[in-house]
Amino acid sequence: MSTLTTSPAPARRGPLLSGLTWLVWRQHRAAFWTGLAVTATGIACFAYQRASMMEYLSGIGWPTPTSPNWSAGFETYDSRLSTTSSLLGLLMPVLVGVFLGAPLIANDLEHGTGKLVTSQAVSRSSWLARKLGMAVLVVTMCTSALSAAFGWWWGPVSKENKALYWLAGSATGPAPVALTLFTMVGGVAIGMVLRRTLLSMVVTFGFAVAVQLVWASRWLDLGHLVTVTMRDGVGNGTFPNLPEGAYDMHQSYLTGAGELLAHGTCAMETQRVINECLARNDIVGWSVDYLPPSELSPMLWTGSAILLALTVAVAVFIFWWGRKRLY
Amino acid sequence: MSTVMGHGGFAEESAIEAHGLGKRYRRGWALKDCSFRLPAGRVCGLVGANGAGKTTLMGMAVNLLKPTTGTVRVFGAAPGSTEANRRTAFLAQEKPLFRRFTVAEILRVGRELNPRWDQKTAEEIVRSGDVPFTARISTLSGGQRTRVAFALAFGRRPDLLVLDEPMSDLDPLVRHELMSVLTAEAAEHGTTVLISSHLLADLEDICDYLIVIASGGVRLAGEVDALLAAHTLLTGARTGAGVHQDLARHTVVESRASGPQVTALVRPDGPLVGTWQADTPTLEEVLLAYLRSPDTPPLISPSARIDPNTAAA
Repeated sequence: MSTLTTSPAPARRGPLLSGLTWLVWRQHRAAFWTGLAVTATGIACFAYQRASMMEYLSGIGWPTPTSPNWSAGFETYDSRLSTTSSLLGLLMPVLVGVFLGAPLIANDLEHGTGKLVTSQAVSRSSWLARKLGMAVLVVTMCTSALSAAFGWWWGPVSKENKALYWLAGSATGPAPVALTLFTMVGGVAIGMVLRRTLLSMVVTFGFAVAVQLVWASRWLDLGHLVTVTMRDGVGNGTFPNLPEGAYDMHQSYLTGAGELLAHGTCAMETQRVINECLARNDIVGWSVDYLPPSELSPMLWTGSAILLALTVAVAVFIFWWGRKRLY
Repeated sequence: MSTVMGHGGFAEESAIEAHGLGKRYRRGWALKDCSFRLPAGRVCGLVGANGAGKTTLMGMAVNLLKPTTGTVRVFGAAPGSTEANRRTAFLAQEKPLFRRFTVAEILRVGRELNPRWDQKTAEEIVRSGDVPFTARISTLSGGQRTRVAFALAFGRRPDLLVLDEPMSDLDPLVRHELMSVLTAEAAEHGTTVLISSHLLADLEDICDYLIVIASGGVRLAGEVDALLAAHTLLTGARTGAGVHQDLARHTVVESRASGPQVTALVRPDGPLVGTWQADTPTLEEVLLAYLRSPDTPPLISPSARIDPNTAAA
């Protein structure tokens, strides 16, 4: 090997990336730059929205508003928070999964460039690790920044009403990060198995929607319900007082024997029939199961931990498949 | 080409050694019980009909496929090991390149991913084809793209270069040009080359070694000269149906009647009797005969035989 002459590599320009890191960045730079630009724009937009919201609030003397119907004017700001929470919690994971996750490996398998890379002096698993690692890193950075910025915008008014707290709040903290990571890594695995870019994008879309449906229907179950009962009848003013911002999950009638009956048991036409029905069933009050506001954060962290554990499992599958079945 | 073969090592070193190599896909065996060795420093043609297992054989040598049976070694190392990875370059049939990269960026891929990289050689191959370094791969013609793929392969300064049908979709002019590049680079650096092709005339020009596979196994392996010398092309009068009596003691690869004449490619085993006109066959004639008669007993020259002692190891 003594005769080997290697000319020095030309001077590099741009960021100091080298080896596989450079290759992965170069190959996916459009997606990465898009992600970074969207994040920067998003944060700027959130900051602007927060500023205009705070201006309105200070104008009406919040937190002790001078006008009783201030909340009508607040609806605009309320709905902006709700819309943005859907963008972060619903749309972002789907987009990242479909446009970054699915093509990440599938494109290389479809066009043979995976063969090109792994036939260089690079092992298959280090190539996969670098691709997945950089995608995970960029996605984590962007989604965490967006989530934090959104939380900062939502924070001052989070407890204003129940819907705002629980709906917009579901897209704060670790939740959007974990949802996006799981959807993306799932998309990578789908692309790896299907080996066709377009097909894997379509299948990943289905997968992402399924993830959203399961998350939406299950995440509220992660909290610990508190039950409160009142035995003052069921007329006006007898409903138990819940803490501010609490989410009432189930409302039932309570009978004298302590049994629970559905809220609609005595939904009848006239007051006289209703009273008869209440008496017949020995309904003496209310039983309400609710989630106290303090549950939101632990619920989001528990859900995110589950999603991240699933993400790790999918990543393990990706490396196993890469070693055994890639070619 | 006597003993020392550049940095390919000594002539006796094996670039590739296959022991009972076999690969089964879901639809059946693509390659079965393949045993041969390719000495370092050779330019070896790999010939076989479509589906004979050429790509499968190459894939196993470069760690794209795992063998079902047997083993293959590249310079004594397992494919996929750091050692084998570093010394082997592979150019797949479809010549994959990143379509949105520029030519210069493709060369940078080689530089970034290989500890041993020869930028000068790679740039020269690109420059000699007048391919602009700033052009995107997607804008290049098929010939230019192949040239860039060649540059990437040679820039790695491999000891073994595996090329799967590199010329299949190129016009004759570009093919000739790239063949010259291949021959010149291989000779300059003592690179062992394993090249599969359907273009037998091309192989005749550049190869000094040959492996023919058919029916899933090796039928011919060895130096081109030795393989040619082992065969004789006989032309004589037709005497009846079937193989001529005079030829019974020789190995008849193929015998074909055309009008009153019989032409036979034989591996003579002793002196020839009868009135035959004997000629030295061309490489193409030998290859075609073996491709048409896959059941001929294999002919493996001594340098292509594996040592049975190492086979057990």
